[in-house]
Amino acid sequence: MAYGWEKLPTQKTVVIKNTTVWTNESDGNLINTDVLIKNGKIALVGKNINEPGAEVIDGTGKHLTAGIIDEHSHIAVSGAVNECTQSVTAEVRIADVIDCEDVNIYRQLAGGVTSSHLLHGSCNPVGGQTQLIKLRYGLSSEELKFANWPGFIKFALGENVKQSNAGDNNTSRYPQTRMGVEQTYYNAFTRALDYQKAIKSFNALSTADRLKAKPVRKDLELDALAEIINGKRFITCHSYVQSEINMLMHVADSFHFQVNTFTHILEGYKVADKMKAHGAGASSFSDWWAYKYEVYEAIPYNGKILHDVGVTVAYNSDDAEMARRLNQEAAKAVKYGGVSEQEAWKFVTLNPAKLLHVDDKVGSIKVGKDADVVLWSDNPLSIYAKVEYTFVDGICYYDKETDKLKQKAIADERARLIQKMTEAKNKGANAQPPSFKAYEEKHCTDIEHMPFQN
Amino acid sequence: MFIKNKICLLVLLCLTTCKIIGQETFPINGINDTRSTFYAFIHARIVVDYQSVIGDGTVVIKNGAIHDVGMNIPIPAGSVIIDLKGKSIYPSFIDPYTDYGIPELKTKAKEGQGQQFLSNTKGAYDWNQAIRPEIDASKYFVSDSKKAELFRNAGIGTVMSLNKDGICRGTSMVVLLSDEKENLNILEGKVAQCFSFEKGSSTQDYPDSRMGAIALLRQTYYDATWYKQSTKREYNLSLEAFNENQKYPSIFEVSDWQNVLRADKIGDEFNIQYIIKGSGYEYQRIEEIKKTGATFIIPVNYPETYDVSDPWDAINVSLSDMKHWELAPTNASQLEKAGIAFCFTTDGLKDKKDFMRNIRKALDNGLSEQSALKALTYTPAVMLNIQNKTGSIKKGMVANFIITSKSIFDKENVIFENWCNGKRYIIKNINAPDLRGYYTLFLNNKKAAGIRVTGEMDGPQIFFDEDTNKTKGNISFAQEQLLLSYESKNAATKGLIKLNGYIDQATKNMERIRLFAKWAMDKLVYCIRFDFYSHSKNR
Repeated sequence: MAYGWEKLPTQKTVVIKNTTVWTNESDGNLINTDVLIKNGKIALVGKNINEPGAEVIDGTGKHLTAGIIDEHSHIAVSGAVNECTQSVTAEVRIADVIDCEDVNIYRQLAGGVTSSHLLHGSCNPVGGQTQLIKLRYGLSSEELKFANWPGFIKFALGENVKQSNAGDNNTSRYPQTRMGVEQTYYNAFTRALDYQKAIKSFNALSTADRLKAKPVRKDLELDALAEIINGKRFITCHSYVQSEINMLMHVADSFHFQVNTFTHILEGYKVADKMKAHGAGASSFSDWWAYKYEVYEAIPYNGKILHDVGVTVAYNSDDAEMARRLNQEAAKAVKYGGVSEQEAWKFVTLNPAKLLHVDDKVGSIKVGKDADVVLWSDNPLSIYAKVEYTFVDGICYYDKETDKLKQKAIADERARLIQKMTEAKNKGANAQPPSFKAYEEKHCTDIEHMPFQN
Repeated sequence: MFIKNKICLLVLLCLTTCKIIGQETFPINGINDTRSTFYAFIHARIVVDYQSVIGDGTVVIKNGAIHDVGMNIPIPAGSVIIDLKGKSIYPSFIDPYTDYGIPELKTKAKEGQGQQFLSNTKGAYDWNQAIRPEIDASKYFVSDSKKAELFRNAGIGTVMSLNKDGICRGTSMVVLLSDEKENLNILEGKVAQCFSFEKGSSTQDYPDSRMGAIALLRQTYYDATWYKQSTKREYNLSLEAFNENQKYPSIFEVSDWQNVLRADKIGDEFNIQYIIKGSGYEYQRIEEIKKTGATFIIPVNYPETYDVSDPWDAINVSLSDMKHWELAPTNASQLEKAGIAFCFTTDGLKDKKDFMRNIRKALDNGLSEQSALKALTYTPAVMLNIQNKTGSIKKGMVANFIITSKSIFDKENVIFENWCNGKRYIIKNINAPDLRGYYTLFLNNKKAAGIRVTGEMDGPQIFFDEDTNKTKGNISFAQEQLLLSYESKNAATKGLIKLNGYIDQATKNMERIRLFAKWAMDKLVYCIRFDFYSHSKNR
């Protein structure tokens, strides 16, 4: 069972009383307000809520917000996050390899994260189908999936996809140049169009003719690409340099679809107007750059500039550690450029929800939305703020006090087992030497045995 | 076991070295001397299958098959009669997941460095080197007498063998573990098709991740369906074989409980109920495991304890590894409790001697004996559709059984013989008496020493206690001859004492065994006697 649970936590009716509520709605921040959580939804926001039988949490001096949504994450993936072996691997799905036992799920709940968008890496132009999950720690991988979510797909541009830094043994996969990247996309979408056409004409045949005709080979890769053209699957694209961002938008315009999100997008400030015109969103870092040539021209005002132009802006982690502190990343939008506190907070909550097409369900505190909420000890943009409770679907998956008890219980359990193991060894059982197993953190460009940054 | 007469013994010894079963299609250079002898095993406790036992019955075998089984059945004239009073006959076990007799069938190695986009396999095969449905294990099978012996010593008589390499691994076969020619050991040439998420020896780049392996396998199912429907422009040996193999059950090997669900989900998409070769971690989410509806083949390779005497080192052992060490032996009982069908495999064990030892640990952790026996015999037989050939002791089935001293689940049980494909394989001498116990050594009717015989039944240790001296001696029993020796320190008998004797058959079946021995010292020969006390206690 997940971190220290004897049995799974259950849905309760809870009233959080007398707290500051960051609604992310037109109401702005409401002070001395109560919020009722019932049946997994936000049932009521107001003053003096008295619900019989409800558990009451005193929120005095505290802040209640919508849960953080990480638009770019690589946690909870079993095995490699990249399938680098072909330039287009639209057929591979993160959904197939969710690892519901990754302890990062729990750690991020403790940082106020309630949903994560699990992406492939960036080692090929089309990485594969992504998966949005809710951090329902303890449930199975299938149960983590965000229900009724339209599918997304990871694209990538830049150094990684042309294998600039992949060593001398990786010099033959097409494309090896940025020009080739563009042609890879044109080729992929053209194949997808032909495929669709072939299916349509086969389906148009009469039953008798169909028996005589050669059926179209079902192609999982082309299925996914066709969904993009048909507006049923959305792109989030790893991107840094303005010329390539323009290139991809041009490819999309040629096939009459939109690039939904540019992720990283560190040169977004240069093309913010074009992105706005195209309808693309931005999911960026607050101030993480200069780790390779193509990110030298990044600036910390990127988010602010994109936001001012009217692009939907999110800040993401791409890193299991940073994801525990995304509240502080949001705060950097206030520090650099003076985005208002309430707008900055949306960078990690409502805006990623919009980019992921789930803002009708999560991302703000509004009656009827999912009860994915976090109670902070302080203003969530403060570095002093700690998470006291994290609810997903009205189920408390993390609370600070229970966590202390769990840590104690785990220490006791370890002590018991160490004692038992020592006894077994003394009785003559073969004992293997312990070896340190480093936890493998995954980043965008990790290939198995070949990690490098972003 | 008690041989009725010397002639029987001679015949038996002769026959075990001759071919019992002839190969009809093979010419013989010389005089044809194929014999079909009846063997009758009488007065045995016969465990017919996991749910029925004959208390005192007879098994008759002939030509590698069971001729008859029952309580009062006629013994055909000329039978070699083997009296198994006090002993048990069990169907020998079936290990449904091995690579016994399969040479390494690695795919062609990559030449030089660099990326490889297509298969290196020459010929009209699949585009991907890890998709090898055309591999037919039986075509590569070569008996391996050394490995067969290790299996037989663990009580196993039948194994399923597969080529454990690649994502789609082709078909597996069922073989018997006798040293007959391969033609006579293959029981079924094709019984199942095998899968995994690992690309194995494939040098091709794709797939390089588990999600890629899943996508590749799903695409292969779709391709095979399309291939079947289409007016063919291409001929593909792999897809031909893939479609052909669909009539066999599919076995999917995984490495943890989450991968069980991943495999099962692929099965759901293509209307296939995979049999799962599990990992031993199934107990961790037994409810989800049950929902798959799969039958499981589970290993019993429990982890060794960790050396946690250094607190710094102990930090490096995760709680989950510690918990698994504690709970791994409960896996089988939790599967039983949840009503999930399962069988055992030796796969993953370094030493096959640990097979029964670890199954007994599962019994200590709540598994019932009936379920354990079912998992060793009936379930794998049904799973591989060979239940009419082996897995129980019934008329017409292959003569595959073991002779044991006690219940196979008793810690002190000894497997004496493994009869496989009608051939006798002696593991422990069935005539060797259990000499463990306390004796008194009399020399000329005077007590000379106390004797303690302890340790393993088939390799005991002997100690001679003279007043305050305690001396370790030597003991051996071969061809009915008992040899004892020790260094005496008593003034009267000082020096090396050697004793040679035999067991008095008249008292053998009683609690008290009398041994006669000659004591040789200073060239004088005395007749002595030592008596056996409290045989069953205080070893």
